[in-house]
Amino acid sequence: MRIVEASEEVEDQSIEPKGFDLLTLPPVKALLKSKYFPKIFQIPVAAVFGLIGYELLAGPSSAHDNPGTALMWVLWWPLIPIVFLFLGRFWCAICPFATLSDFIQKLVGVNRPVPAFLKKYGIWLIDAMFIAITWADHVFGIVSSPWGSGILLLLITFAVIVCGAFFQRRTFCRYLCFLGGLSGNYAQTGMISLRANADICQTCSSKAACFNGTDKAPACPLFSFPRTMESSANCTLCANCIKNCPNDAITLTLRPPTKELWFIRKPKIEESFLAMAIMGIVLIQNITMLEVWEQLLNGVESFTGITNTAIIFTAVFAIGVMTPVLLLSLSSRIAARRNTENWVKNFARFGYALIPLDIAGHVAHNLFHLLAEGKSIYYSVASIFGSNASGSAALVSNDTIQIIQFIILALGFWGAIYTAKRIAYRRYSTNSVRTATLKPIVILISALTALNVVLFLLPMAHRM
Amino acid sequence: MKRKMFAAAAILGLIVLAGLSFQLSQSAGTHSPQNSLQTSKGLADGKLHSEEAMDPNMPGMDHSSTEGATDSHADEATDSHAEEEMAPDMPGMDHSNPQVNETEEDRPLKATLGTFGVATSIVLSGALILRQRDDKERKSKIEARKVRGETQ
Repeated sequence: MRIVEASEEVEDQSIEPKGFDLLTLPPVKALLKSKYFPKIFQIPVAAVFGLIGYELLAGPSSAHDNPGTALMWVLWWPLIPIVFLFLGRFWCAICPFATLSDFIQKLVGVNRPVPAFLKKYGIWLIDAMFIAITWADHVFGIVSSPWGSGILLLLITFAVIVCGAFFQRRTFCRYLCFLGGLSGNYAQTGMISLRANADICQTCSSKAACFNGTDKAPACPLFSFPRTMESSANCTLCANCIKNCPNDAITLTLRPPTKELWFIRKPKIEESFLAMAIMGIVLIQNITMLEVWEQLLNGVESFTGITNTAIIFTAVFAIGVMTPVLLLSLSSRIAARRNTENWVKNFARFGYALIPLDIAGHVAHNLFHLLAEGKSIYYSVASIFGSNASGSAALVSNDTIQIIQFIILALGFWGAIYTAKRIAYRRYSTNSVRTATLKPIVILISALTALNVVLFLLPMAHRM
Repeated sequence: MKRKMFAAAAILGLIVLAGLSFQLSQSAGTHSPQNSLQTSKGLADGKLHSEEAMDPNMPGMDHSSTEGATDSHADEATDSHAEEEMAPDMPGMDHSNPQVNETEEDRPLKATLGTFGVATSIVLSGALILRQRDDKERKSKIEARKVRGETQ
């Protein structure tokens, strides 16, 4: 039974207040306005990724000995969510695939408009692709095999070439890239926010130079219009708009992590779904690393009589990914009985509150690889130059890693709870509704955090 | 500034090229039997750092699909230093990695790159043809406008 009438609730429509503008610092402004930005980063990153691609395809066939595997999965993959947290989607500005897309576009680009179905279902495609790639990794061993990783890179490269050749701007990055979807979600917790000064923009006589581009710099690669932009999900901080704006109306402000999530005005269910799916994927990644995983597989095998590991994994994977989605659905249904919105809207709104916990779980999981195997990057890359350096790969002890993991999880938990509170307080004006809405969400956040803690506590099995 | 950038890019490119050429010269016989033997010897001697050092559970180390190589390292799961102290030939220290024995047939590099190259060429050629057609249409439209302007 609803305890309030819809008319009682008025959503706070205020926008995210701005913090310190980094563009007031002359060196930052000079860097971002320079025609060499972000090329100065794109070139070395593309060179390193070229090396990674070569090593994956033509280097040692064992993941242990392959510098491509070490650079990609021990260094890059664990660092990337941390980059999202501090710099939003800046990685996307210097991503080698984006560089390739721009190059192909200059070479042969037809610049057709983005197909309507991509605009409409793009994020769902990203959701599906992210889940599919994670599934394929476990079933076909993509990540465990340098060759598999190389093939994945080739497939992505081909998709980028197709999109770059036929469609406008960075269509692939905006509507198809699974990492772009992930980074879009995580960038909303980012500590840097690019926006336009609405007062100046009102007086602007240029024809949306920031969006369409000028002689100074190309158009916004992700089709964002700074004047109306409220989210960092589709801003790569490429600084094109900063160079193009004739009125210096763009601001680049510092803000506390997760702040953007407190002011989401138009929550999207697909973004919330992705947040929950990521939670499920991280849980599955953790579970498959536990000693009990083999026992679980054996148990399922003896119970069902199915001996095909791929089928069993697919079932477990589907359950794992869907569990957080179903739990949020349940929490949203309970919350919907106490507030003015239906459960779908509650799902869309409060899914964003889980993003801080998502990123914390993701970082904590990957930190294990970076800190427990970090030196292997040096060993394997040095082997390219003939070095026989060897030794322990661990940068710090397992105990230290576990402590850091729990600190990160605690921060994620706090961030998620605080974000949920801010969302509820912004949306609902009465304390009773706020509290009633928050209860199931807080229980969900606590349960998922507890599950993560348990998984990080359990001993992990090595299966090699 | 421009010169400095070029110099930096050139140095980086040289380093990468040097690495690649060195790797090429070394990997010429990567999959040869001798090389496999060397690899096995290296593993037995404990000289190949990466297997003992890298955590098999890294996202690149999930060998769930490679049955037969499992569980042998379960004991060392929580201590990355333990392996260094163990004799390489003791039970549970089987370093054989099925992927080391991958053959050329498992990694059809030429066929894969060939397919990729052909597919990419088709895409690029298609796009180029479309672009030329668009350019022609645009030019003819501009000319038509000019003609109309002159007649008016």
